[in-house]
This record gives sequence, C-alpha cells and structure tokens, in this order.
Amino acid sequence: MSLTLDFLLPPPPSTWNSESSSVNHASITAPSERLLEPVGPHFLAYARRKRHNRTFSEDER
Amino acid sequence: MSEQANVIGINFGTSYSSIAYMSKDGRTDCIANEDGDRQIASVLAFTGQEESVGSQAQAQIPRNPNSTVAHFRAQLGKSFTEAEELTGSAAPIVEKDSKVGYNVTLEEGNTQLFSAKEISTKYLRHLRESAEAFLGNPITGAVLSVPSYFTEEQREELKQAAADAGIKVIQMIHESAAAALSYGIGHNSSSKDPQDKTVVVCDMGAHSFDVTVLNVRTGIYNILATAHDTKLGGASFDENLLKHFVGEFKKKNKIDVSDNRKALAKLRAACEVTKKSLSSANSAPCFVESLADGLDFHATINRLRFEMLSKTVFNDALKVIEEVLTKSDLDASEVDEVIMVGGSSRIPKLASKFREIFNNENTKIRSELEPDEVVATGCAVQGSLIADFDDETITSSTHPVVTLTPHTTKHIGTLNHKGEFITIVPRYTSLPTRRIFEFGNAQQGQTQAYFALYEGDHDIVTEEIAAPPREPIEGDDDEEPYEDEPEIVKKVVIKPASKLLEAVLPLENGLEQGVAKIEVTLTVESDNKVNLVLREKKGNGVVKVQQ
Ligand SMILES: Nc1ncnc2c1ncn2[C@@H]1O[C@H](COP(=O)(O)OP(=O)(O)OP(=O)(O)O)[C@@H](O)[C@H]1O
Ligand SMILES: [Mg+2]
Repeated sequence: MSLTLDFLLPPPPSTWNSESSSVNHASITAPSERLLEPVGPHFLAYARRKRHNRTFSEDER
Repeated sequence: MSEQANVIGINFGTSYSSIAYMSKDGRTDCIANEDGDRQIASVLAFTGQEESVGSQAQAQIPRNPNSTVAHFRAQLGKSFTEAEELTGSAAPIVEKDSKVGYNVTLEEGNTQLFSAKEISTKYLRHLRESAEAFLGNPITGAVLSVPSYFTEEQREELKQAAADAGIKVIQMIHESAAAALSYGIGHNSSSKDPQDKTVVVCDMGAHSFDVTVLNVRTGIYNILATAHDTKLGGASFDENLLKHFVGEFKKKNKIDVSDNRKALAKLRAACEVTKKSLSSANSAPCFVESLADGLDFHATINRLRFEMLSKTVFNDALKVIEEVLTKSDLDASEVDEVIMVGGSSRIPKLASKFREIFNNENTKIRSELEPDEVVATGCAVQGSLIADFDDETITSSTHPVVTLTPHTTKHIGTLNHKGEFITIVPRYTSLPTRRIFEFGNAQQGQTQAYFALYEGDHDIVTEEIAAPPREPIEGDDDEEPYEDEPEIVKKVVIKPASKLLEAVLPLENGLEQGVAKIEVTLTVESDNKVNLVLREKKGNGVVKVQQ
C-alpha cells in the first residue's frame, strides 16, 4: 500500500468553535517493542541517527 | 566501497548453497565454482584425504554413502537428542560429544568421526576457495543468511564454523530479509513516498517451507510473523515421485526395491532430475542404469501426473501460509507482494496454488529473479552496504539497543468526506516515523482548511452474501426448493477508533477549488508524541500541533 491521499480538505465543521488553531484530543495507543531487521540502506540511515542521537531534521540537513 | 573490501554473500542451505558478489558497477551475481555449479550441493565427499563438494560429492551419495555427508547444516548447533535424520542423507548421524557427528569412511578400514560443525567448516572452506578463485582476491568478509527458525546456538555454531573456514562473518541476516533486499523492496522510499508494504516471503527449499511476513515502512523491514514446516520441501516432491516409480518398477519387474538402500538412493537422485525437468517441460523421463538385479529402470511422467502425486505437498504449503496470515492478523488481500524464494519455487504449480489464497488482483506474486539466487544476492547487497564499516559500527547497529524499537499498534490516518478511514501511517510502523503529503481545498472560496487525525482499528470481518433469489421456473412446481449457499467473503475494515487531534489552517489561495496546496508533515516521535505541521505552500499560513 502506498500513500495515496487524493482528496481535498474541507473547511472546519460547523461545530468547530475553538479559539486556537488546533485541539489535542488523545495520544496514540501505547506502542509495542519490535525488532527491526538490520538490513538495507534505510535501516542503516536509521541506525546512524539512533547511534548519534540525532532527529530526522538534523539528519536531513 | 573501497578497493580492498572484498565482501561476498553466502547462502548456506541444507541442500544447496550459493555465493554472490557485487561487481564494481553495482550489479550482483552468483559465482559458479570450478565445476560450473552456481547452486553448489551442500554435500561433502571424502576419497581418502581428498574432499569434494557440489555435484561431484552429490554423485557419491549412492556410490559411497559412508564416505559422503549431506544435510549437515541442519544439524549445526543441535544436541544429538534433538537431531533428526533427513531423507536422502548419506552417512548416518551419530553422537559426538552429545552433539551430531558422522562416522566417515576415509578409505578401506579407516574411519574418522567428525562433528557437524567440522564438516560445515570443511565445506565452507571450499566455498571460500571457490569465491577467491573466481574473484582473484582473498575475501575480506561475508554476509551469511540464516533461516528464521535458526536458534541462537545454531547461529553461533555457524559463525564459528565459518571463522574456522577463514571466513569473517560481518553480519548474519534472515533469508527472508535478504530476498526482499535483492528485490530492492522499499529502497527508493522517502517520507513523501513511503512505499509502505506488506510482503510475504515464501521460501520452499529442499527440506523446509519457511514463510515470513515482512512489514516494510519507508524502506525499513520488520518481521511481523513467521511459520515454517521442516517436513515440507523439494525432498517431499522427490519422495512422492520415488514411491510412484518404485511401484512402477515393481509392477514391471516384480522386484520391490523399497528396502534396497542403494537402489533408493540412485532412484531418488534420478527423481530430483526428473522433477526439475518437469518445471520447464510437460513430460520428463526418469532413467536409472542397473537399478536392481542388473535391470535398468526407464519411465516417463507428465506434469499433470506429477502435480496429482504432489497434491498434499501443495495443500500443506497453503496451510503454512494460512498460519502465518492468522499469526499476523492479516487478510490475504492486504498483502502487496508475495516473493517466491527457494529452488522449489520453480515448480510452476506452486505459484498458481498460492494464487488461491492471494486472489486479490492487487497482490503481486513475484518470481522474476532466480529463486535460488535471491538470498545470496541479497547478502551481497547488504555486504556492499556495510563493507566499509568497522566492526564496532556493525556490532552496535545490529544490537537490540538499536534494533528494538517502539512500533505503532494501530493505524493512524484521517477521514475522507464519506467518513471512511484513510491510512497515513499503517500499524506496526517503527518510531520515529515521518510522512509528508499534500492536499487541495475542497470548496470554492475556502478561507480555512480543516484536518483531523485519527487512530483506526483493524478488523477482518466475514460477510455472508446471500445468493440472489432464483427466478421461479414455471411448470416446475414440484421441484424440491433448495437454498443456494451464501457466499462468504472476508473484508478488512479500518474503523476510526479515537480522534487524536484537529487543526485548522487559514488559506490565502482557496478561491478556486483544489488550488490551495496544503502540505502536511506528520511525525510520530519515538516517545509516542505526535507532531503535525500544516502549511500552505504558496501562502504564509502555518499551523504546528505538538502533543
Ligand atoms: N527447476 C526446478 N524445479 C523444481 N525443483 C527444483 C528446481 N531447481 C531446484 N529445485 C529444488 O529446490 C530444492 C533446493 O532449493 P534450495 O536451494 O532453495 O534449498 P536449500 O536452501 O538448500 O534448502 P532448505 O531451504 O530446505 O534449507 C531442491 O529440492 C531442488 O530439487
Ligand atoms: Mg533455503
């Protein structure tokens, strides 16, 4: 499955009455720990970030 | 890759092994040994102090079974009590230091006891020498593949055997991951084009059928589930053919060879050849000179007959696939790609049987690469990626401190105008992760755009679709009315479960429908926090939401 989001964003619903531009409702469900397969270029990039404690944006610079 | 690095990939299989390398122009290929074998039979034969491997050694199984060892990889790292003899083996397994060994006849009256590990070392040394002869250089390291069911003890003993053979194992990787690497799955992905996929690797070798569900998320692999049957594989097809031909020989000559070890070994080898021919031809001969009592055996068999003889093998294979799908809570329709691996994948009927399960037209069944080479070439790909890494970097990268990561357990997405869930980050994605995508505005004259993020629950529902009512046929009143079986279909639904956040972005370019370009960057951090940025590309509006 690849990311296909070929739809349009509507205006806020009539019930939207927030003063601020966003509302936080809930956190995501607690994640589970799994082992990655240590292979391939994307894993190596991830491992490099993790070893150097770098975030995405720092790595992409 | 530096000039000196000479890293190869090795797939050491129970029955056949292959060696692959990456050429300077970045192409991978398998190496043929001195006898021209690309699939080098995992057999070691002794003639006095002389050793041979591959097809030469394989030919010795019927002739000199006590001087020939096969299937030793399967016995690595096992205690003698755990070990099981595999069909078609030569020298029988015996106990050595509570592990598996073989009493090998070197020459008349001279036998020597070797452990499975010592035999593996000798065999791997031949592989190393073949690779070095081919490449014209000493190898500096190797990436070795192991099946998913290999235990820690087995991995450890394999590594030692390789080291004793002069092979520095720089990494051991799963066969399934190696095959996916060889196919380049997820290689060109990015946050903007994540190419998230579910891949099922079906590996049918000689003595096992190993099925793995791989999750691929922006090019990162994670094994979701595995299932295997070590009683199912190419040897099962050979045994069925063998039984069939033993019957034919008996019918014709009134000689039963079912207890004649030598005759069986000869016929088994011939059956394997016949079986392989049937993968490309519609019928194939089977010939054994002097099978028993000086009588030759000669028969032909067609593919259809072979497929009928193998019915249970095909059906047992489907059971393993069903098992792995259940384990991973997936419906077959959710599988994007099925990769055919292992020599037995060349049997044409196998892929068509798999289609019975993977019947969704969007599921690709892939077999365009050589199924018995992809594991070795995948190892070579990995080898080239890490050839220049120092030991410390490799060790720390493969350590659970790095590989054990939090994964989402539910789908994260949004809803379309019909209220249906649209997945952005599928479940079981390792964190941190990022997705970048773009939307247009839905209405004319829109001054604000609304975006809500949800979590979704994955559900496989079975639906009964009642058969359409039959038209009553006139004058057929006394016919017994019968009900048509309802059709049962499985469907995957992702239901919005909880709303995570909502955001509203002011728009400058919303006058015409779809003209505003809204870029959304969604990051889920490793501490589980969601970070969302909405930005109008040709405007000034930006909304940042942080949890
Ligand atoms: N053309 C072919 N048609 C049918 N079967 C084939 C063909 N070529 C090879 N095989 C079979 O494939 C099997 C070997 O496959 P492979 O090399 O993948 O096994 P392996 O990795 O050594 O074994 P395992 O995975 O069980 O440890 C043998 O049973 C062989 O007869
Ligand atoms: Mg195999």
